[in-house]
Amino acid sequence: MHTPSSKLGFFFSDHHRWLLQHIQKRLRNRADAEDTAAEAFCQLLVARVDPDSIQQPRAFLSTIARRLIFDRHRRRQLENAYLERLSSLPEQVAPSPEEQLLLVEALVAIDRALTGLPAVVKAAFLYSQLDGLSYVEIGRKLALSERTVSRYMKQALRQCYLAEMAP
Amino acid sequence: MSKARLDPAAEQAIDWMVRLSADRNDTRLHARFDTWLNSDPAHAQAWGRLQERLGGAFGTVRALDQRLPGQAGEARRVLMQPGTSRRDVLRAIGGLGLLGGGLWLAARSEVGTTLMADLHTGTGERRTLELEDGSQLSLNASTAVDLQFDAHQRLVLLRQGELVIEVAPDPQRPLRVRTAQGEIRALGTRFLVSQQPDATRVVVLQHAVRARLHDGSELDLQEGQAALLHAQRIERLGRDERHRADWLNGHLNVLDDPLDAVVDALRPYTRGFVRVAPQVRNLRVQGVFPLNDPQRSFGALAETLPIEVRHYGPWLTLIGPKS
Repeated sequence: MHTPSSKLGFFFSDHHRWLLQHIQKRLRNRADAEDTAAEAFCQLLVARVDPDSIQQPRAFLSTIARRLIFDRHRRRQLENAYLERLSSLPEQVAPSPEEQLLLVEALVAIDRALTGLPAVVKAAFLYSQLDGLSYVEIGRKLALSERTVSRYMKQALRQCYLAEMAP
Repeated sequence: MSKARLDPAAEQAIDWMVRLSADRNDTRLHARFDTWLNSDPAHAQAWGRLQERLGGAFGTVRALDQRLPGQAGEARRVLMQPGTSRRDVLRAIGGLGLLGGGLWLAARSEVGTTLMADLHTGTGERRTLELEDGSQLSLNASTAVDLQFDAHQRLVLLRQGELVIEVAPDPQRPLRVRTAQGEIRALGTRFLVSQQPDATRVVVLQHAVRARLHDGSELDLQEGQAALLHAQRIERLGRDERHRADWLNGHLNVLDDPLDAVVDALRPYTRGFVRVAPQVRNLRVQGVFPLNDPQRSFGALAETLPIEVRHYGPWLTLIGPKS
């Protein structure tokens, strides 16, 4: 008898090498590639996937890896954009390195939850959730009626509700 | 985007959130909301779930904005920058990094390196042996060494891993240890050499050695001194590093190293793959850990650090932040 986690261990040993090579073709940095491969298996663990139920392991793993590679890229984009903005601030109002790290994590999670929404919907939602503006103020900023702001809010909230916000 | 179905309680929770966010100072609305929330456990559950979704990341940004006004605005502007689509990104990075991939895999294939070497130790195995000249060579676990001894030279090629050598004197044939970065020539008797991913560590346990890079630059090291040989330069280490030879007695003695480095030192004793999550790689570690029982060492790390160590069968160990 094998427990699910030990089955995943064997699944890992069977496919890790292949997956690493596969990712290495896309990512230049070897540490990044190793990290991404391990992360792909972590996702299986978190999702409690039974390895026996995976019919085509390579196709399955490469799909996860593609998404992780994209996330890594997007994360770097967000991080760079944030750091660039910070560099224009005077030092005394800059967050500590720990705070910066937390903020980048938060940016990645929010970005993922809102991905695919039209830009104006995203903007209305962020003005409300991050800046705490009322719909009247948001409407004024984005040249929208209050009703439309409500509608956009609902659209974004529905998506957030359905999204997995896990890190 | 297709409209996924939500249960009625979830739809209502979202409607309430929409209404409450319209104007946060509307107290009459709050009273009606409280009535709704308390009228059915399913309402409270749906509301809780929605807040959970919104809480963490948004809360982090708002909390930071409280302390440093303006951060929420910065976050919003970053998030509003147009992103590239998945397909664009994959097309762009798909073409990179093909070159060198094969080479890297060949070089990384430790099993290949070990099996072809003259002397090697496996996972969790240490060996001390006497060489033909009377020198004593100790190999740490997962180490591979080639020997080229003849009438004119004594050359030890460290392919991988870590060794301590106690050199028998022979003025005619100086003893050298060669690594990926350079050579260490014995001027005295006993020293440690460790091949690390991008550097060679040298610790002099007795007398002195001369470290030399392939480009010819040299540095003499005396007893108790240590250095890292990089490809282009030799970095002298200010601290006493002699405790790094404690593996000879089966201990890993850590004075002050990042978790990442400690796990690297345990790896040769651990079967399978060990992954350390980026968030905890730089945690500082102190302590003495048993090498022959890596499970116990991981356990001891988990007791003293804010980390969680999970084993998934014999092949996969994950170290991450405590949840």
